Amino acid sequence: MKVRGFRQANAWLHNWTGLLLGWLLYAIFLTGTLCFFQNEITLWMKPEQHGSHPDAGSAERAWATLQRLAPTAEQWRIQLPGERNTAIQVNWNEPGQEKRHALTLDAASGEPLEVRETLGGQFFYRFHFQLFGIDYMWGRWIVCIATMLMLVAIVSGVIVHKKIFQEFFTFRPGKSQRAWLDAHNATAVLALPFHLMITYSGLLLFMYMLMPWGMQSVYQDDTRRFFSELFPRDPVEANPAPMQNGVPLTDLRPLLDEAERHWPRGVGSIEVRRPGTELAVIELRELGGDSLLDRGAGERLRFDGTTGEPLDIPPQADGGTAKAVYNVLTGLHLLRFAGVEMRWFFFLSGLLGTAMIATGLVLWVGKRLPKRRKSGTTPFGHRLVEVLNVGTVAGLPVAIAAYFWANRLLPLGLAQRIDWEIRCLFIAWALCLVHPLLRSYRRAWIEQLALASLLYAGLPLLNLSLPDSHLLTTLAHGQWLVAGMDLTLLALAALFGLAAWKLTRLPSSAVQNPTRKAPQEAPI
Amino acid sequence: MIWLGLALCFSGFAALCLSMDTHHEQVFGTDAPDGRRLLLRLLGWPTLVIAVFACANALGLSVGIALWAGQLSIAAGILVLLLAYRPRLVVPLALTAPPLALLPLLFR
Repeated sequence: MKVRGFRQANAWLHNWTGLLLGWLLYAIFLTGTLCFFQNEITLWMKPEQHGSHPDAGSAERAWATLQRLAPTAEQWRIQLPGERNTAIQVNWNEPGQEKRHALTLDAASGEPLEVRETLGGQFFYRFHFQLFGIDYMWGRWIVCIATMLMLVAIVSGVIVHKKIFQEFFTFRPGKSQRAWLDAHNATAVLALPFHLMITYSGLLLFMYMLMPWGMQSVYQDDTRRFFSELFPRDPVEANPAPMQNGVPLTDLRPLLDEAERHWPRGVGSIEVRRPGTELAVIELRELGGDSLLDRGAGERLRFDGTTGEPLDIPPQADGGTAKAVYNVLTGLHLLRFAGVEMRWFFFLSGLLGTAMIATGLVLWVGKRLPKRRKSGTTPFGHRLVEVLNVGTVAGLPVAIAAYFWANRLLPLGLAQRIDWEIRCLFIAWALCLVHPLLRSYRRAWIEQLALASLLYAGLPLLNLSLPDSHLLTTLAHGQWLVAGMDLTLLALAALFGLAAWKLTRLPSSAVQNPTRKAPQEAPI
Repeated sequence: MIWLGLALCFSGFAALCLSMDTHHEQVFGTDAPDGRRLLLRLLGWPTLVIAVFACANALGLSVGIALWAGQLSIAAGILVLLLAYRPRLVVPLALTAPPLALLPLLFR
């Protein structure tokens, strides 16, 4: 058996882990990147909320609405509008019922809004760690294994890359294979800290699934007890709730003023236990805390519900260093704490990672073209890689656009509307996987990229038909949450359009049958 | 402060990259003289380090370091694209970015 050198062995490992999992990792990375703006995407997909403009009185209006709609509830929760949402989310449960009632309220009027059914950005969130359409535990295991192999591919990729420091800043655009390799190296090396952090912390999030033995040996099968000790919640008072006797709640305004004196960012949410009784308790929570150690949970203040007197808060158990490390790393992955600039930085880093995978996949085909040309045949495997490349790298963005279009175009009263939005995504993706079978590699790329460009550019235009959602009003009102999404869609459309146009201008020889041998290359 | 961090990352990387012959040639047309190469390195590394403090100052140490890691990637990414397409802009931008990022801090 031929003995390979260390670098060649790593090159082999890098090629094959990268290829076999590349398409899956591309989908995980792209949808995961979108998750940094999960709430913004969800908001964009609920245009009924775009007309809701919060002001200083929003909390009291929600308060009044709940007193009217749910006077006998056991508990209310009010999620106030923040940096990432314009409307108020409320939910409550009636005594003896497990199921919670949830409503979205207009921040300006306090009235309930009829919001279309959609999973919004949550779909991408769930997909990126448990996929879709298969049992979720299977999905998690698959994602988990892919993530581990991504770490393998990153580390072996660094070993393979001979001139990691000399070529740190190198990108030589042009027609040759060299440019793709440069782009692959640059996107990989520049964002290396981010890649390592995001894959490693992603694995940590799966820690209790991957290595449950420590937990199982101490807690036997009572994993619920393990998690409740690790992430403690306040004990629920055991004494039975007294009868509703219509004791009026205290005025909310002074409590909010008190809280805002403590917290410059303001109040994020309000929880009321046993409203309408003399044991009512009001708890205010700070809007998005910025410490990684508590996963951005923020501080709390608690008041007596009838008198408005401040109450003590049961101290949170301190989990020690190991828990702090876990919280910091997973908090980084989930980006709970982050402000908008930070989100953009991570979003761009995520796109770099997505580009790294995409360029790697394209390279695999390109590297093997000269050999194919020499022998004059196209092996089945190579053709399959080409088809999957186009259908995933260009096809998934097209499918995501189809999801957004479905959100806008499907009738509001459609049964299973949420499912239909997702079906549209997968139908579009399936078509994108079939289409390259019928076209040449190059034509398939051009057509799908052009289609993606058209679909993304069309979405902001389609918004013109909605009263509160189009760019003219959102920009005029300074509603950057909604306008930002539209502008990003336009930027993406421009990017896809540019890519398609560049490809049409490229002499076909550069794609189909490169005649010029690229200069000395690293063995990728 | 966040933008100052990004600007400093960019300038630091620009100095480091100009201390390499290939990139010095891309921008100035010649290899870097020995003295200048050393000077650029001595400027580049500390600038990258100072950027950590700008980030930590804005967001606390733990989030600051995470932000800094993200900014390093993005600053280097911008630099790579500029070198490829607009090499002449590298030096002016590297010199003006940090002062420009400081401007908003003066007018608060």
